[in-house]
Amino acid sequence: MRVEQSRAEGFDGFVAARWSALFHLARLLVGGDRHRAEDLLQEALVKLWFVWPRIAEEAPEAYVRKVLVRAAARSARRRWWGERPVEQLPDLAEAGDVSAAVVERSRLEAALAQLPPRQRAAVVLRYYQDLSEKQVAEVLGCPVGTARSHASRGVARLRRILSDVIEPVG
Amino acid sequence: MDHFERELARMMRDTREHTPFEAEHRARLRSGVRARRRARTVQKAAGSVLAVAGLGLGFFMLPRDPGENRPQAPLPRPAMSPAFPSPHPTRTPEASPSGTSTASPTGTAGEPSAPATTPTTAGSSATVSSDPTATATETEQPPSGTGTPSAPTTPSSTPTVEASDMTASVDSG
Repeated sequence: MRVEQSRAEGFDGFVAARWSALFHLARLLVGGDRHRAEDLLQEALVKLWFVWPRIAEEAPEAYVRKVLVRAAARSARRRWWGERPVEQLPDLAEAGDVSAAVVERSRLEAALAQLPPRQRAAVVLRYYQDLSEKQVAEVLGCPVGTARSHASRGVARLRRILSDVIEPVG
Repeated sequence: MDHFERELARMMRDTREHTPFEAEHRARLRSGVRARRRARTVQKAAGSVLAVAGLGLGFFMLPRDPGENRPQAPLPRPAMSPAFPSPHPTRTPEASPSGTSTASPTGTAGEPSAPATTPTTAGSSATVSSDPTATATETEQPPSGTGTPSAPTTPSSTPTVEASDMTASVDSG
């Protein structure tokens, strides 16, 4: 019983500390969909709970990252996202909420959403998580050359999409 | 890393908004853990039931009487064995009873009629006399175990044809 309690405390502490960062990662991986990101993160954390005694002292965040990336690629292959029609639309963002940061985030997420899932994952891991090409390949479960190709193609496409946001230098 | 890549990395980092881990997240996580634990338990139980059912079915399909599986007939033996000459010469009906060898390789040790069936034709005497079992005494048991009367497959009963016999028949014919 005490072991279970200490396990729950350690797990809760990790989740509370890393929730925000992991949620942002999940949101980038799914191209901005907040609800999908939360579903993915919940799924990854449930999996983490069952392996927590083994990897609590090692690298739990790396484990969650790998689960998130693979779950995002898997869920992107599904056609139906569990959306149901409702009579009343949920609350939309008010005009006062629109700030430069929100606009920039919306542009970025819209651009990421246009990428194929593996290209998007490679770009996010490479430029947001600052992982090396070898680490990206390990997380994606593919050869290094394939991961490099995914990242370069994703960046090239983002370069075209975001050309009006990020002005080329020179 | 060029300017665009640096700007891309900056945008990814700067657009992060603080999202606290709230009570509803915690409750949802707990319910997810419970659901997954239940699913794992059900999977284990179903696996155990399937394993037990499979074992039971396997035992049920086993034959009740193990004797039924005993082979009813001996395995067929090759009709000719030219590479390995048989130590037991087959009985030839044209064999003369005046043989020098008195031990029948196919008969039982105590059989008195064994010398009468010993092949001693001139053409086939080489084969018979070269056989160590053929020159043995009467009390010596043949190595083929033909003394057991229940064995239906003594070499003498098999329709083997040996090269020496063929030679003998050619000579005689």
